[in-house]
Amino acid sequence: MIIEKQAIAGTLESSDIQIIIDKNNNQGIEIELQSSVEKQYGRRIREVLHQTLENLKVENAKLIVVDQGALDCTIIARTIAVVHRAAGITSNYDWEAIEEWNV
Amino acid sequence: MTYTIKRLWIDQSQLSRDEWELFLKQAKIRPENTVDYTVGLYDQGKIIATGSIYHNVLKCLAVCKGYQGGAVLNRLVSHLMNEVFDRGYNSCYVYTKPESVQSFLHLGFTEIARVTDQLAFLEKATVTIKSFINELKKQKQSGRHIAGIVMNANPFTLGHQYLIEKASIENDVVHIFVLSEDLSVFPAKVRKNLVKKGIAHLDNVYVHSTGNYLVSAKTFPSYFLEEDTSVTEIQASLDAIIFRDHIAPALGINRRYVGNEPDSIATHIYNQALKKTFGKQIELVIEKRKEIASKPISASRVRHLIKENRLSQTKYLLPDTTFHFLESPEAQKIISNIQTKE
Repeated sequence: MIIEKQAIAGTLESSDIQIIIDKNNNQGIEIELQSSVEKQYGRRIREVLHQTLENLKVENAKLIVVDQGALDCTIIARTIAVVHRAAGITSNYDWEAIEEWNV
Repeated sequence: MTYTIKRLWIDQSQLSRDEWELFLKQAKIRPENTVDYTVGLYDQGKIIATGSIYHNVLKCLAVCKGYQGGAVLNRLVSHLMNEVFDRGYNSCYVYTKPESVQSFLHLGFTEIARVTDQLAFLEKATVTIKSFINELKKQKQSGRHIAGIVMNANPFTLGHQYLIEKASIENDVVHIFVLSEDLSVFPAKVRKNLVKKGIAHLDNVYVHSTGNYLVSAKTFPSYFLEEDTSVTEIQASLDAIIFRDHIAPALGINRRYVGNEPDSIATHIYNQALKKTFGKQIELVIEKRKEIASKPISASRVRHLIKENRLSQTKYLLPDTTFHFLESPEAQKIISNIQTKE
């Protein structure tokens, strides 16, 4: 998917993650992460974000992420939401494609 | 615990407004009129927090004492940020008391500047002040004396041109910053364009936009400052600190030119604050305004003439470039706006 405009998903509440995404002019994936559990899980959070973006076929994006201790499933869900919003898709989600990798 | 968020229609319901104002006053925050979206957080029907938005600035945030320290503020700020980004802004700002800075850092905000124990200014954006500064750095020009001038140019007059021409002679390089906020009768794009046209004959002058970083009175949160502290002074100090610490170093600016305004106390305070903040780092040059018919030329004088339908007389106050624009079809809408509104 192509990131066409800036979008936001998630909240700053405990156990959630807030993701702001924007275009990144062919400069790949850039993630700025701030997490309350950065030391313990920072690497894993980045991994999940990268993997989910790859699954969604996003090649260029800039992400500003504030994590408040979200579980992997939450991180994936928020990433799917923010990418769709940024790509301008607000209905008729391709659930089958998502289910193929999100098991 | 579940709290409910409700929109407060403070512009439409006096009851809502009274409740809101009372709550803010208890938190020692002065209610403001320049808000365009307000919500309240409720715990079983009792209001426990409130927050507002004006454009992309979060303001008038207050959380009831018993609920401070996390969850409630996070919920409130999340909601307001979603609203800001949903509106299409790509940045979000907060003015707050320095003692609250920590809470916002925790939510991913970055501090840009602070006026000692009075006010802190924070940002959250994908395109941050860092990228703004990096863009500016690309336009850096070498020289020994490098001047900066900030102007609204609403519209660009002979007075502005005179100030820039003077700076152009006295310095190797001159950087002009035109306010980007679209709150003036002349749109930002038009204002910047007229500045560019009006200085086309000067080869050491460069025109930039202020971005979000040279703040305007509209966004200034006078609400949490004590009544006896001069609001203008603090606003000017914040402005000066951002200029001194971020913008001037990016371009190597070591002089700032301003016009004097004998009749305006606000400008006097502003110039004083610039002088105090700049200290020895940046030289402040205060120029006397150019006069026509023994009155200083100002953009407000031009707008006044337009309002009174005396367009032909603005010719003596404006460079040809601005005057030609006023005669063009593009300007007709702006002119009729001035005549009906201002």
